[in-house]
Amino acid sequence: MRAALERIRQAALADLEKCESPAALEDVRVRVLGRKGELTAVLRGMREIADAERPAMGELANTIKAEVEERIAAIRAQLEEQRLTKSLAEERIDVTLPGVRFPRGHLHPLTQVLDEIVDIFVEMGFAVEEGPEIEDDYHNFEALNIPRDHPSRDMHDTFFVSDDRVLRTHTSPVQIRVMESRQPPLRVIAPGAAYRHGDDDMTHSPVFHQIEGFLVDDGITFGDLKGVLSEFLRRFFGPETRTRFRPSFFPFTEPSAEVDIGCVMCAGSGQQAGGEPCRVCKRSGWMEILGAGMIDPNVFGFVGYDAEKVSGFAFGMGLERLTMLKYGIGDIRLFFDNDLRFLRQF
Amino acid sequence: MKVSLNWLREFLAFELTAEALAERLTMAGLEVESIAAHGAYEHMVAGRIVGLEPHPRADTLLVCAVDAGSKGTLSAVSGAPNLEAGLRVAVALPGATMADGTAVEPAEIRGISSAAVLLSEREIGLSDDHSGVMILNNEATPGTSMATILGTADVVLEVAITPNRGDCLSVLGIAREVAALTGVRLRVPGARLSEKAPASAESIRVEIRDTDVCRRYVARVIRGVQVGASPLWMRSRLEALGVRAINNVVDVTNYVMLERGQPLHAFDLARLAGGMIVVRRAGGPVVFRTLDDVERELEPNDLVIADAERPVALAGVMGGASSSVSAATTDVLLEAAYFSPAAIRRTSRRLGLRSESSLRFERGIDLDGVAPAADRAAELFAKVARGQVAAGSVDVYPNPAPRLDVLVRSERTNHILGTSFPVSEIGQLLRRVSAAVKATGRGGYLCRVLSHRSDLTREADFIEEIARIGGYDRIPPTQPRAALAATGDRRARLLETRVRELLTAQGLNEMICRRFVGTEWNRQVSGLAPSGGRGIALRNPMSTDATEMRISLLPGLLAAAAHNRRQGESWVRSFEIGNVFWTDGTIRERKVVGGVLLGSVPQRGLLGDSRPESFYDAKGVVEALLEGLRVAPSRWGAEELPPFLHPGKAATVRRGADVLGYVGGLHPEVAKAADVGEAWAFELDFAKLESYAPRRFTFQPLPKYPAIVRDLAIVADETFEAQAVLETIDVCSDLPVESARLFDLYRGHPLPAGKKSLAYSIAYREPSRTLTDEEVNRLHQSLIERVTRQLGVTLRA
Repeated sequence: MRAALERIRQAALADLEKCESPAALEDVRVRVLGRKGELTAVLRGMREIADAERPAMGELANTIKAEVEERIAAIRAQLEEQRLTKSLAEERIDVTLPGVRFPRGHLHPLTQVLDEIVDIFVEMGFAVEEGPEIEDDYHNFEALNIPRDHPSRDMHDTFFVSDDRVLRTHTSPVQIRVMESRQPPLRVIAPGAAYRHGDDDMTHSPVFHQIEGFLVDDGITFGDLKGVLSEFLRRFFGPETRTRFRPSFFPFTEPSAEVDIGCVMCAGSGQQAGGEPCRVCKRSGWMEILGAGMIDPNVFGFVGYDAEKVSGFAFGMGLERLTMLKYGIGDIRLFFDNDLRFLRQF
Repeated sequence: MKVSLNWLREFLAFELTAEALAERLTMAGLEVESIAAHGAYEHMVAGRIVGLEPHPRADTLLVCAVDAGSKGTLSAVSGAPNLEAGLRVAVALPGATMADGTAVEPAEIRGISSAAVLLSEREIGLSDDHSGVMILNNEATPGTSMATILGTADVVLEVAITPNRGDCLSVLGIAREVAALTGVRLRVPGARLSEKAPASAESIRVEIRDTDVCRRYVARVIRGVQVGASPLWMRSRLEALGVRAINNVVDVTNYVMLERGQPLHAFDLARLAGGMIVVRRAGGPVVFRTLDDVERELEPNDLVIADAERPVALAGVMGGASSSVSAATTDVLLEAAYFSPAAIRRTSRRLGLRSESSLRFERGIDLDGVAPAADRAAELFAKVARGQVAAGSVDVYPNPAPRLDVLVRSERTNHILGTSFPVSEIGQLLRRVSAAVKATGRGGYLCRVLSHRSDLTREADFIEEIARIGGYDRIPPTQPRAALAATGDRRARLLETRVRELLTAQGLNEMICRRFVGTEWNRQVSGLAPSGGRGIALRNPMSTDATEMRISLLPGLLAAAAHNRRQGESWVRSFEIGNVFWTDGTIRERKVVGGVLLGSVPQRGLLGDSRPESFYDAKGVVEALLEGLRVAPSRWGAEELPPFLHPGKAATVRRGADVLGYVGGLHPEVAKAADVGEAWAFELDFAKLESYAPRRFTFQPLPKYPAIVRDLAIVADETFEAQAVLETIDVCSDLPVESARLFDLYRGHPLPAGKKSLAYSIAYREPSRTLTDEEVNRLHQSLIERVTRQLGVTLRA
């Protein structure tokens, strides 16, 4: 009997080594270990052997069964691994085919830059306000210290809707509207569209966008104006940005300033790489970025603030200009052509 | 304003280079826009004609040998009629550029080589004289540069003058500014006149009828002038500052205006009737011929200068043709006056007639400078036109300007600027820009305003001067100490950002359109404007297709879509958020979000086919937008559709009775006019979205018990609206319906023609327990009965 068991064992292990599929393994298992299998048949013959040998034979049979089962499991795992390796080697897709997606829409570059500017000012504690684009003469001019028949109106080529109504020439009237309805302290920016009658070319558009800002409280100084605007310009153009404050004139501020930054095209050198004069800053090394100033006491008079008690500064900048500088765009008309080949770049 | 450095040096001896001066001026608010060499006349020299022969092949040309000193002897072929051997002439060498821009280079003229060009005054750029070569005097050494001979080498700065600084519209004005900035002393030489009887007053009487608009009038008489060309130095100066030389009389008035900032006018005394000057209003509609020979229609209020009979000049703007100086003029009446800025501005703007004179009067001239300017002009008339200056002047100045003193407080100055300038320094800076300064104690200074600085009337004006002269770079930048104020309500802006996110996520590209449209578009596409609302017309549009403010976002978006189609785009999805405008008697504007979808939606990757945009694409965009804002529309319906939409393929979007906007296909006529083909559009009122978007929402706990889903399929007429079933289910508040949605639409066999089947999936759920199948069957049966009974549809078998 021992010999019979040993033969079964030998044959089973030899057959297993030849198996090349899980099905073949299963065949061997059924043949050897199945209910009608060889090992079962041998064990059934146990009754015929001596009692003394029976435990030893039983143990041997169980050992063989365990050994065959273990071997089947090992070979099965091996076959599975081979199959996986083979199928991984065979299953190939072209990963360079396009992805499946719905094309996303793009935000207009002016929106993206405005969002950036608004975020910077909101971080500095400014609120965002809006005002009407069709303004009355009082808010657009009069209350901003620009009387009728005054030469400063020359700075504002105006679209008229009626004797008293104009397309606002700047976003500064929002200053007046906010101050009329609220008391200091105020920290406000007012982005929006503005209109100027006149040139329509690479650098001028009759419709454009401005960001007006103002800060009113007691004890606000021209030094604060410099500090806040320098900080804004550094955050927008980068920490190395050099700023320059230069006297200028706006009817609604005094003192007034033009704020320049070192030219972003020629790094302030005034020259292009080839030694040609820089076309962006016209050789000066500086670029005009925004206008600012201490709010004129007359303006406070119009809104009923006491100029001896409060002071403040105001500033304004052109969104198109900042966006053109940021992305190197040379023609303002591209913003309003809405050509998808342009918009999809942003 | 252009300013010549040579001219400037007549008033003060500054040491700065042109670049340093430009920098100093720029940093004081007088922005120098350009620095240009003037009168250098490069490669132009004096030459002596040493040989002169006829051209062998051209009768009208001569071949000259010209001694150009160190430049050697050059040949020059010339056709000038005034050539003689031995003459000294102006010569352009190779490398020179003539006034008309022609480059001079060696050439061959009919077989004879010509290295140089003999120059006329016009070719040099000195005058319009092209009658012959410019003859130099006999002292001109050959080879000497023309700049040396003419004494013209100069640098010209172009300075941008802000509207408040009319006083800087002159060489003297800028000299004063340089003096204030640098502390260099200003010297203004007085006019040296040798006056002769009879006095001016014997030839002319001056009467000012309206002393508010003409505050001062100075008249001087110069007799026996010889009208002719001005001397070279004067012409060169005028040209340097961009003014064309005309004749010595006109040139003198222009010269003094540029030098002193006082506009002057010269009348032909013989052509003034009655020896009278009357400054008055035109009085009635009058046609007046100005000296540019244009007839202008004057209004009663326009200020004129008249003689005893009629207007002879448009005060402060332009003289008249009838009284202007001509070659025959011998006696000149010189006018120097002060006219009110507003009056001059009104007239000149209305007539569209801006002159150097009106520019200066508008900005305000120096009342104290009127008489000195007249004297200076008289001095020059004697010098350049051999005039005899009549004794004295007629100076009508009924109400001399009162002297103005302004108190400036040092403490206030430092408080506004954020500086700590010492009181003494503030005093020093104030002295630079005041006629006199008196300390009043406690850091106060009483400043006497200079007569030419009409822009300085208040303490704030002087504080600005202190900052400007002291230098803005001396003010330290600081961060404001301010209360952490509430930053206001950013909701509208955040909502706008959200709308942009929701729309770009669905493939819509943001556009920003100009807000101007043609009248026709506003009539066709009324957008959300209430019926009866009209477009707002511009009084002064810039072009005929941009005459009104847009009443809707559509025209701009459609124009952009048409543009993109022409560029070969087969698919356009776009949106804009912006204001639209209309009037119903009152001018109104509101913010709107609108979009356009057209063309074919591209296939996704390589999967599926591309397909045309449909109503349901546009509706889907709007649905997603509303859902993203948590605004639930209550109804999509074809009621009250605006006429620019397709009547069968569009819907108004409502919440209750309130119309939020519309979505749908463009009316074929409108689409055709826009050249866009089939297009889908929507517009929603932004303020309404803002008001309906909840400020906060509450989270719903996840259900603990399962939902049981039953389907409901009905058969209905083709005209039946799917929304009706959902609305019916909505009002079954007694049933535990959690959600209901349409999942299938079917037409065809075995349904009869004109019928369709709609299948809905309905989920039932009780929050507190599990529903049993029997319960749900009962509930669903009840729902089926209500739907079929109320809507007159049948259950699909």
